[in-house]
Formats: sequence, C-alpha cells, structure tokens
Amino acid sequence: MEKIEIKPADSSGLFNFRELWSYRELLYFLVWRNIKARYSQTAIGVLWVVIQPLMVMLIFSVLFGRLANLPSEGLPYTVFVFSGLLPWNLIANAVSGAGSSLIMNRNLVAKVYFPRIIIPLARVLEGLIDFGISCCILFCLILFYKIIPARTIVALPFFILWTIVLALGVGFWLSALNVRYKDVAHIMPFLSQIWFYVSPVAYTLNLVPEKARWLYSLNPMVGIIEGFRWSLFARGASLTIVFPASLIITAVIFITGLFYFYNSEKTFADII
Amino acid sequence: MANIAIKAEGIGKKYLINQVRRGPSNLRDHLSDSLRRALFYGISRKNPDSRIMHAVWALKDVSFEIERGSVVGIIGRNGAGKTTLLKILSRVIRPTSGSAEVYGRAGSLLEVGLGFHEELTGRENIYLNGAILGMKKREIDRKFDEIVSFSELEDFLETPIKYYSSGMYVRLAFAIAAHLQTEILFIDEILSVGDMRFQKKCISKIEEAGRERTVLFVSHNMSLVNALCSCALLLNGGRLEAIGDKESIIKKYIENTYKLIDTGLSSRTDRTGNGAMRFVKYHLENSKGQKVAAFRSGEDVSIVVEYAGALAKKLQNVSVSFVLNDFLGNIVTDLANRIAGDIWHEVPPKGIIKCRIKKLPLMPGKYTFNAFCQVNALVSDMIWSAGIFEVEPGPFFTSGRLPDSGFGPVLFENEWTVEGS
Repeated sequence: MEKIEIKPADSSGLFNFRELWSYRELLYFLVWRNIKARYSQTAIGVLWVVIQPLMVMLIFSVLFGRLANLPSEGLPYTVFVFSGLLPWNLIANAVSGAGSSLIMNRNLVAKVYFPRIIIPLARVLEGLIDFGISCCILFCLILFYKIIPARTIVALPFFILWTIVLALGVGFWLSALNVRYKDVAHIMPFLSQIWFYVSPVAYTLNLVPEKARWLYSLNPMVGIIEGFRWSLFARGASLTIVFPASLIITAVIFITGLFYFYNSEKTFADII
Repeated sequence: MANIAIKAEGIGKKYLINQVRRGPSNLRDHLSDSLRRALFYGISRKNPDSRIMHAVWALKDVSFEIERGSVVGIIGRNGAGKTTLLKILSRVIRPTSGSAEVYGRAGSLLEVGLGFHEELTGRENIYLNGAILGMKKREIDRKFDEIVSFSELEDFLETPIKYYSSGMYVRLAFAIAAHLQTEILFIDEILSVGDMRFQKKCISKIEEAGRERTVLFVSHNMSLVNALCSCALLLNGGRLEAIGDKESIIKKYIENTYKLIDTGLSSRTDRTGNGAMRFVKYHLENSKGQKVAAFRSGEDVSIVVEYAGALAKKLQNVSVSFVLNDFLGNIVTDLANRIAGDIWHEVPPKGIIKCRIKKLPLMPGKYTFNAFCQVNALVSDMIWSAGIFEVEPGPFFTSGRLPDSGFGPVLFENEWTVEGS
C-alpha cells in the first residue's frame, strides 16, 4: 500500500522524479488549459501565434536591417533576425510567463498538493507550441528566399534542447523568487529587455570585439542564438570560446534553479 | 499497522505573523489620521504602522491515530487549526515540527471548483478539475457520464462556465468532488455552499463512500458531524483537546462554546474583520425593555448589542446580521437589518443596536447567534457564536401548549377549520 510521509520543511528531500512522472497528466492538462484559454474568444484564434512573430520580424527588418543597415552575415535580414527571434521568444516566455506562473496559480498552490515544479514546467512547455509554429514560419522563409540549409542542421535539435534547459532554469529561479519577493514581478520586464539587447538577436556576434567575446558569451543566449544560426546556415563567428562558456552558464542556471526551487517549494503554500 | 490510515505524531505549525496595522483607506483619512496621532500620542511615539513579527502556533503537539474506514469530523471554533491540520495531512503545507504518516492514496477537497477556468466549457473543466484533484484521465473518462448526470448540467456541457449561474457552477464543482474516490479523503468546510437538495446529495455520496474509505472533514455543523461521523476530533487553540466517540466530543465542543460566550464580546479574540466597527457586549430584553436571562416562546423580545466604531466619526452604510443557530450549529435563520428593510446609511460612532423579534417563533432550547457587521461593504466584525440565549416554554399558542421536542426548532401561527362537505 502507498505510504506518504509528512515531515517538517527543514527535513531534506530529494528530487522525486517518479512522483513527477505520476503527475504527467496534470502537466498535460495545465498546458492544455493555458493554450485553450489564451485563444478562446479571439476572432482569429491561433493565427495570433503566426502574426505576432511575423510583425516583430517586420519591424526589426525595417528598423535594424533597412534603417540602421546592420550586417546579417550575407543572409536576408528577415531570415537572419527571425533565426535569432526563434530561441529568444522561448526564453522571453520563460522570463515573463514562467516567472509569474506560481503567482498566477496561487489558488492551486495554496489548496491542493502536487509537485510544484509542474507549474513553471507547464508554462515553458506552453511556449514550445509557439516555438514549433515559429519554426514552420522560418522554414517557409527559407524556402521563400531559396536558401539551402547547411548540413550542420542535424545539430539543431541539440540547440533546441539547450534553449529549453535554459528556459527551465530561468523559469525555476524566477518563479520561486517571485513567490517570496514580489519585486521580481517588477524586475522581469527590465530583465527581459536588457537581456534582449545584450543578446545577438538583431545583430551578429562579429560586431563584438574579439577580446570581449568570452565575457559576452557568459550570456548563455549568445551561445544559443549563434548555435541556431550556425546549425541552420553554417555562418557566423568562430564559436570555440562561445559554446563552452554559454553551456557552462546554462548548466549552472539550470542546476541551481532546480535546487533553489526544491528548497523553497516547501514553504510556497505558506507565503504565496 | 494494517488497520491504521493516518498516524500523526506531535504535529506543530508555526506562523510568523507580520502584524501590519490596517492603514487608512484614502489620502484624506490618512492626513487626518496622522494629525490626530501627532496631537494625541506625540511625535516621538513609535509609529504604529511599523511591522512587528511574532510567532503564532496554529497547531501544537497534535498526535492521533485514525483507523481505516472511519469518518472523522474535525471540529473546533474559528482559528482552532482545523484547516491547518487538513492542509498538513494533505501535504499542501509542511508542519514546523512533528511528522505524520498517511497510508493509502489521499485526495483533498479544500475548495470546490479548484482551478476552474471560466473560458473553458463544462466538459473541459471536468477534466481539468479532476486532474487537479489527482484523478487520472482514464478514471475521469470512466466516471464522466456519472459526474454529468450528478451535476444535472447535461445541456450546458459545451458552454463556457463563465455563462453559468453560481448555482450551476457549484453543482458542477461538487459533482466532480463527489466522484473523487481516493482511499483517504480530506474535506474542508465546503459543504456549506450550494442548495440544500444538492448538499444532501453530496452528503449521501460521502456516506456511501465512508464504508470503505477514510474521510476527515471539517465542519461547524454538529448535526452533520453527528449524522456522518463515526468519531470526532476536537481542536482548541491549536491543540488537540479530545478525540474519540462523537457524542462526547460534540458535547465538549458545545460546552466550550458556552464557556467562550461567557467571556464576553469585548474580550473575544476569535473574530475577523477590519475593526471599523466592533461589537462590545450584548444582552437580552423582553417587551418591556427589561433585561432578561431567557426568552419565552411567543414573547416579543429583543437582542440588544452595544457597538463602537474605531474612529469618532459616523459609520456609513452599515449592515448588521445575527445568524441564529440551534445548539448543534444548524442554522435557524438570518436576522439582518437590510433584509428586514431597515437600511442604515449613517449611524453614530457608538451606540446600541436592537433587533426586535415579534412573537418569538422558536421552540424551547438553547440557541446561539453569530454576529456580523459590514461598514461600506467591508466586513468589520464577524464573531461565530457571539451570543447565546435560552428559550423557555411560553404562550406562543393561546392553548399554552407547544409541540413535543424533536419536531424542529420553529413555530408557526396556525388556524384550523373543518367543514362538512
């Protein structure tokens, strides 16, 4: 027979993957709820997922591509910027959406038991749907411009996985912090904005002085975005320093995020 | 251990309370408040807005064992720790000290319709809420038709629940809750919402399940506890006062309530509300305005309550209600100035509220009342079992007789005729 032990918050507990697995249906229903609710009663529904990134891409193309005339590695600027926006949107969703996810589901957290990590997890997975649709748009663009993807494209799944890991790490950190410190809600928009500008979404890594690149690569989005471009088009700056630095930082964010989340989740229901 | 479902050892829960004095609600109040404070208390006095952290034990040293298959009522007055205990056992919060073991799959119903999304349809919410309560999709599939027919909402399944009336909403929520069939079930005081007929349906569902499952439920209603439970657990100020046979526990609870009422309204700490208006004391009067110790059935009587506002200014949009309960906690009626048609736009900052009842239509027995008041749509004071009165046999009927006890708490005036046909 199943036996549940209830112990004080200061007692140690390990990450219980088996339990998380047994709650996979709840995870599914929460993702499904968010998506359903997001597009119900909108006139064009799911089309928004297509229109939003296209609009952003157009604005950037005009601003940075035409007016500022930023270099784009010999690619059409629209394709260039879209390949950067693809992973960026996933992260931006993790910052704003996953970051506030626990607070948004305050009632659930305070009234019923389930592994709390499901909530930011569901929010990140929700972003994956948009990501998938954006991928389709990118391939349409590639076809439209008659670009032949590089052979390195086989590495793309690795970079997608990398992005997800980073998104989860950021989501764990921010959502857990947000329960304790309401200030986080005010910081998130800034963080998102600043992070965007220090990431090579609209410009190329080649614009960054070579000596400063290792420092710049401590922003894990540098490795991810450059990785996306490299695997899709085999273009961009040399990545020998960029990848290790960004990868290590991603791992640090993910692992510490997971630990921080598990340490603070015991008191979520008390303070949320 | 095969026969034990729940075992708790020395469970304690400490909260650090951030005591923030409720500030004035608008700028004008704020300015006048600061001025008053400066004048009366002097500038040097410590700012009363400052935060003081202090520890409160919501539960302390609670140990018990519950046998498999028993239905246990958790009783105690407000703030006794009932919900805290339920939350700890259902793993929503962790205890500060002690430990517990729960044997078997457990589910909890701390709120009905948890996680309902108003944009989703009834059908979708059944799946969502079911999953949140811990049901598997296959289990929901299997019980779906049963849940739908239980809720009596067959025609509204594809309607987003934001178009539901509150009654429909509650029915859907309860229908799902009633089909949560875990081996152990924790239920907070949620049965108090919903219409009577539907409540009965849910209760019988619990009863039916109780034979093979262990159920712990919180209730203020002693007759419900009496009807449903095999035993009861009484909490008082965070401590386990007694556990065991329901009759003796209920008796103890009622005695505690009477003792509590004896302490007087002004010293009661088990109250909620913002304090803009507070009940200070109460007494009972007969039709001549004399203080009495007990009422008599059929007399004109009054419940007289003294109140005081927090500030020396008039109170606006005041509504007061006294909810009468019989000695088991069954609600008899709600006496409220608004319902009676006496609207108070403005009342003096201090005064006496008198609620007159003409020809008291109550059977002899003990009754308590909860006192509740609202100022400007905000709850200002709410006290469960604020007062008590005894009703003695009296001249309700000209015959001088009354029905035998056991035929309900209320009396009706009635006239009889008979004609040949």
